[in-house]
Amino acid sequence: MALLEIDKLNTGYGEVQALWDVSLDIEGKGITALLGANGAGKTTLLNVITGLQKAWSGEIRFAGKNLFEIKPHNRVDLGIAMVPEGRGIFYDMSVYENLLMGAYTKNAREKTKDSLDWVYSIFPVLKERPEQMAGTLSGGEQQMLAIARALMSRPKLLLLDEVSTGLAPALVLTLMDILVNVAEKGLPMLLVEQHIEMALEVSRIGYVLENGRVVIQGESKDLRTDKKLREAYMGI
Amino acid sequence: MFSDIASAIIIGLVLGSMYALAAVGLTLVWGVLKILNFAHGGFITLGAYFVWVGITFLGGNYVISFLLVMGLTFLLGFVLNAGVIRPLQGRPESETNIFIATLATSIIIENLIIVGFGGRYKSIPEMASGSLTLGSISINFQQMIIMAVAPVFLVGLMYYLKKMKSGMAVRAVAQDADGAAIVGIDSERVYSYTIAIGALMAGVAGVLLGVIFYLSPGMGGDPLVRALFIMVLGGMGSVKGTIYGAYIIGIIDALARYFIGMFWASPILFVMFILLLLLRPQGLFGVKV
Repeated sequence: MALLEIDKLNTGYGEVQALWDVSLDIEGKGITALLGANGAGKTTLLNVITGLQKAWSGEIRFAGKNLFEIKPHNRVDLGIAMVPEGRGIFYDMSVYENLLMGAYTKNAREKTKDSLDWVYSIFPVLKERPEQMAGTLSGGEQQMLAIARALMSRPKLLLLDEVSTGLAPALVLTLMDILVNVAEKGLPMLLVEQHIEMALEVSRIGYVLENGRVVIQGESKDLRTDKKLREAYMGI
Repeated sequence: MFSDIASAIIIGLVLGSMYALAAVGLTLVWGVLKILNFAHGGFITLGAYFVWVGITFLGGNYVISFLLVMGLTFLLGFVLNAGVIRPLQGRPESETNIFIATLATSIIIENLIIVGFGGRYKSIPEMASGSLTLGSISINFQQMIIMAVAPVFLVGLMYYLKKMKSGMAVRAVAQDADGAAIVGIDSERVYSYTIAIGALMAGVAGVLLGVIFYLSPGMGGDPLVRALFIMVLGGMGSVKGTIYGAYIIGIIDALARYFIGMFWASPILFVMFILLLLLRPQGLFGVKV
């Protein structure tokens, strides 16, 4: 059984349908990549998982539980954490306060101290300036803070929405290395990316969304050489 | 001349204390929910009448009456949210509708007070009589109590927002509602206790107003208008800015009353309000909860 099972999910905004019968599974280990162009519905799918967006129909089960029966704010305690596009950190709070807010839920709160040590060991730069306001960090540091904040909730699944946006290529590679490392130590992730080549490099399984539908799926190593995918998205 | 100015500034600090309490709840609710809660004026009035009821009917104990006000206004804040604000939220035109519905709540409170206690002026017996004289300046004990009580609540609120987990969650929701949702903060709950805290602050402001002014069913209106001005001056949603703004307005208000005349205070403040909107609409301090 997969960790997260999405079955025939439909949703949209007002009259406009954004996802059409989307079905996909996220394994309990490694990185799963969710690919597609701008507006394909990737962020919408993440928002349905976290509860920021309501589903029209379909089902999502997380560790066997029906997610739609669980209120959005309680899904964090269940083990779902997200790094949203644009980071969603609290700009007028310090690095330390942001991390504390990451451990806001009941289960995470008890482990706050251990979690802090853990995320500081992953991102030493955050440990150097706990009092700095998040809004004054550089883009890369803000992204690290967003990831660290998500880790503070001790998730069983981490959803990452376009973490590479706006960052220098070298920094993106560093971040990816860190994420791969964390994933290998036992935290499954769903990586939403526009950088298709890179995402397929680090993931085990890949899904491609197009106009709200899953059009290609398979093992990432196969997708890397998939002719259709290469023609459509890599311009080769 | 010096003693005149000093006396006016003392009155200004007394007024500023009350305005700060009146405005801080309004600005907090704005910062978190992005709504203007006009029931605030009604809650100021309620605070004053509750303490009057407590003192008149419960044997004159100020401390118990004061705790009664805090408890009741806090609870009624939850009722206000559940009964008036939440049902309108997230619907079309919710901003305007909440503005109208909370204003209506103020009017209902005002009229319930007329029905219950009549429209005649009431006064709360003196909390403490006597005064302290320093050279040519004298401060009466009531004024001293007001100047001491307000900072306790203001500092308490700042401490709550800065240091306590649920207070930090209030700031988190104000800064990024989606970000707050994804770390597992229940924004509905934050909304309801933000409104309750605002109601409690309004109630306490009402008590302090009632101590030095007469009580009337419409007494909350004037401080509400002042509070709105202060909120804009301090930067909409900024608790700290609002507190500074309140003392600034309190002192200007007092100087105007003292040197120009009672009835000139409001027009002068309104002219300043218009100038503020024209010249610096973002307020003195920008926005931060």
